[in-house]
Amino acid sequence: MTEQNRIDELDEVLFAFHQGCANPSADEIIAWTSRYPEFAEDIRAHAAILKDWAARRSLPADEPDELMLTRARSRALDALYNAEVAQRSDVNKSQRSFEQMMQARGTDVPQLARELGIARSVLADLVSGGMRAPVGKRLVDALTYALAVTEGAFQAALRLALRSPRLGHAKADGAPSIVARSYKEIINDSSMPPERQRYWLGED
Amino acid sequence: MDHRAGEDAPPSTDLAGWRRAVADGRFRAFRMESIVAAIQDLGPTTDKAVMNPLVLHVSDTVTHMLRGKIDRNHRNEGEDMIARAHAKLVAAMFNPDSADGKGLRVAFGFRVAKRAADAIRAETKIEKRELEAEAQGDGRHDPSPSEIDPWREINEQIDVERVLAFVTDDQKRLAFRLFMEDEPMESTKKGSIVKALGVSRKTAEKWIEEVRALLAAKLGEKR
Repeated sequence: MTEQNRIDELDEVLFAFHQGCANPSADEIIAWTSRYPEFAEDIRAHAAILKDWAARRSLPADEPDELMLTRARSRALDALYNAEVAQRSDVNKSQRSFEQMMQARGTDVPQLARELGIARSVLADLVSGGMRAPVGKRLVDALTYALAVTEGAFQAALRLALRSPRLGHAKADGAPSIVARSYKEIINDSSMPPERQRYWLGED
Repeated sequence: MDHRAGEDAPPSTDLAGWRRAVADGRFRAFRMESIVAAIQDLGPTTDKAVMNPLVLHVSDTVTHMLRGKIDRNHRNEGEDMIARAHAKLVAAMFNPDSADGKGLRVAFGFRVAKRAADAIRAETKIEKRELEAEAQGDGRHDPSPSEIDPWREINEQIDVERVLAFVTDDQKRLAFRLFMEDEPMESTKKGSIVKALGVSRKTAEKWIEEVRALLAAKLGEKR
């Protein structure tokens, strides 16, 4: 048994002891220490504390002052804030990027582009955060089918890509940047023949 | 320890139901276990107008319980112990998989009490070491008669408890309390003080006598 396992088991035993024995008698202490001889010392110490509390039950309870309550509230709201930050971070981690979706299906941009009959540059713009929402319905339908993901997962991946676009090479006169274009602009600027462009724009 | 109340809480995931309960203040009458379940299931990113009052209610309840269980005869009147135990509990509340997170959800009062006992035990060990290190030091000391409430006729039990609170050895206090409850010193038929403590009769008697003598001295001095 590792030290952590021992601590966890002791915690469970003492928690059960508190629930079962509000004012432990000699019989109860003997029963619990016989059942858990490895924790006998801890059980007796908690028995002493439980009996202290039982003896004071009829006395007026001590009350916290306003300062103590205020400090505690502040700690509680801090804990809430920390939990909120942690949860948002977990949500972000659980979002899959387009790259991860393609990897999961054993494909990549060139292969997917060939399968769908769309210009490679269109998909490259999408996965690198260069395509603004909304994405054309035909492409959304085709990609959710090909990648076996829901539309929600697709939209989450799109938001992820837009939040962290992959930058191109820096130019001599400025920092590297990426300006997301609309779906229509990207399709129209692609090397696809006009009829394929019209198809992906839903104009056929 | 029972935090049950007459009011039925909405299901823990029913945000609209909890919104109504918070708006009309009914949530204060719900079982604490239901409130913790709602905090965990609605999640920390839910509507602040719902979450904040629930969290503050739990915080106040935990603080009241800890203050009621942790004596002022500890260092800094036990305030550091309360702060530490409170911080552990509220942080764990947001982690439903933790032992405290689960415990608060199924047996709120017992879980807080268990943590209070853990805090007392840890502090008592430190205080005992300090006392041993500085036998006549300026740390904790036996209560003088002037520290004991002079209104004996109404506060005799308080006096006894105040003196007992200065007995840092859990085993000695336990021996004395079992003795006062008329548990037999030894018995072949039922539980006994000797068996419960796992020590010899001589040791148990010595401990009981030590505590009895302390009480007699301290309470006797002021009478």
